[in-house]
Amino acid sequence: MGNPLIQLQNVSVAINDAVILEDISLVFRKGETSVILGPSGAGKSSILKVILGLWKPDGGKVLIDGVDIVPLPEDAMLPFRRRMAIVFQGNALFDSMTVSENIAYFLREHYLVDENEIRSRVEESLFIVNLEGKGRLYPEELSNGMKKRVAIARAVAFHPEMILYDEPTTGLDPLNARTINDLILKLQQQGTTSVIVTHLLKDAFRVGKAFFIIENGRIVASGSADEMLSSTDPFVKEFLEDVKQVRLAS
Amino acid sequence: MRRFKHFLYTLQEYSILVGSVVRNGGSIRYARETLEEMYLIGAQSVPLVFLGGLFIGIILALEVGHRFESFGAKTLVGRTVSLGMIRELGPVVSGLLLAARVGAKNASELGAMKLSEQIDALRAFGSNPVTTLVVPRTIAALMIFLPLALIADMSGILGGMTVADLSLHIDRAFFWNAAVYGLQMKDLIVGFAKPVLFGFFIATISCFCGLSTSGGTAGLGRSTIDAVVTSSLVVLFLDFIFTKVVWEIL
Repeated sequence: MGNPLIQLQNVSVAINDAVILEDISLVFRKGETSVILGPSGAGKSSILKVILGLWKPDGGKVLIDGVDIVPLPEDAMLPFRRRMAIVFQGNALFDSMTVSENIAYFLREHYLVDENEIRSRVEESLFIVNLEGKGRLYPEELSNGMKKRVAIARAVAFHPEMILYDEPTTGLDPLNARTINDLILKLQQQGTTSVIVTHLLKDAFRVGKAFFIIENGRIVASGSADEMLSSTDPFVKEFLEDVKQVRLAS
Repeated sequence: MRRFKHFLYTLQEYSILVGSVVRNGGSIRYARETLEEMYLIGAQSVPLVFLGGLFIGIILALEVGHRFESFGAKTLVGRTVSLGMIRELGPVVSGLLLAARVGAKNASELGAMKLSEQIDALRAFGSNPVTTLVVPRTIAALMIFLPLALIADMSGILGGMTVADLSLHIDRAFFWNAAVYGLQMKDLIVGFAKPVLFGFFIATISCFCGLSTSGGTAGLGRSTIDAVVTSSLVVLFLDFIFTKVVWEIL
């Protein structure tokens, strides 16, 4: 079991009097793929926004390698954001830029490497996601599956320590979903820490090692796949019913 | 009371944005983006402000010409048109036209980026959306609004001169001499300072509306309307304040 990389301690978030996250505590370990499961609207994506510092929690701490990022101003977040990348649910590709420019964005923005190295990183990232030769296209010219792969290529281009995935396979056909899951597994083998937010159980149990189940902004269960499947919590049992039946059938 | 609190909160948020624009305004990092914006809001707005100025100049010459003719003061038409165009109508008409064009462009672009999580992506990748998106648009507006207002001024004076010649039978040379020699330095100061002021507020207000967008496509529509309406009202309000203050001081 790796050392804790990110810890959420008693984190609460409310927007316009609506409670989004309520007293949540989580630990994500180095090199591990953690999956946050839950129904739509449970608060899964909010956790990723809190980890990235895009949302400031109303209470609690968010520790990255032991440093609380909650009180930090935007500028001081950069060293932490350099260590992690995110794949947004809607991909959030910059539509005024080509695929290559999207992938190179972070490297160019922060002058991390020279232009030759940027070009080679872009090609390497496109190769990883099987999109060689598509660098000159604009996001609007791509299918949903391709956009998702470009978003992953953009995330891996600067070799982050950790990648956050927000519903990476939602809305994709089975072939594209499998390609994305294979990519996540490949990155996992390379030692990248991953946090995946999804409500698709099949994909979650294929790639995940540690699981958290969230309902109405609260964590109701956490543990390994076996621990989840043997949970006696009524909500967890109902939520994971499909997975149990598939496992029994096989 | 709730509306008033919301207004104060919005004003505070806008002031923070303006403060951030001023602090980061010296950056030449995004020179390419600034030039692109200058082209989009500048070169592409030339026909609009040219025609706007032309028709206002023609109407002004016709209206005052016929009034002045009745008490034998037709010779004042040139001076009235040039004074009216340079001090008031050129800056205000171009300001209102650009509030619609530039305001709608900025608010809809930034609003769409906000809704598609591109703004969050910028922040997640360590960029400051104000420096990346708002500062180039504001600098472009500051630099380009004055030349556009001058085009409106000139087309208005030329339109007025043509109509004065054809309809009121005022000699062109006489009209031109009255138009040019009737102007004082303070008229030029007022006429040249207003577009710069309008440019700053139109750019920052419309960007603020765009960045505050929420609520899907209906919200995008609302923020675009807010940008155009607020910018137009601010142009008229600033025109009044500026005119009053300058008359008191100069």
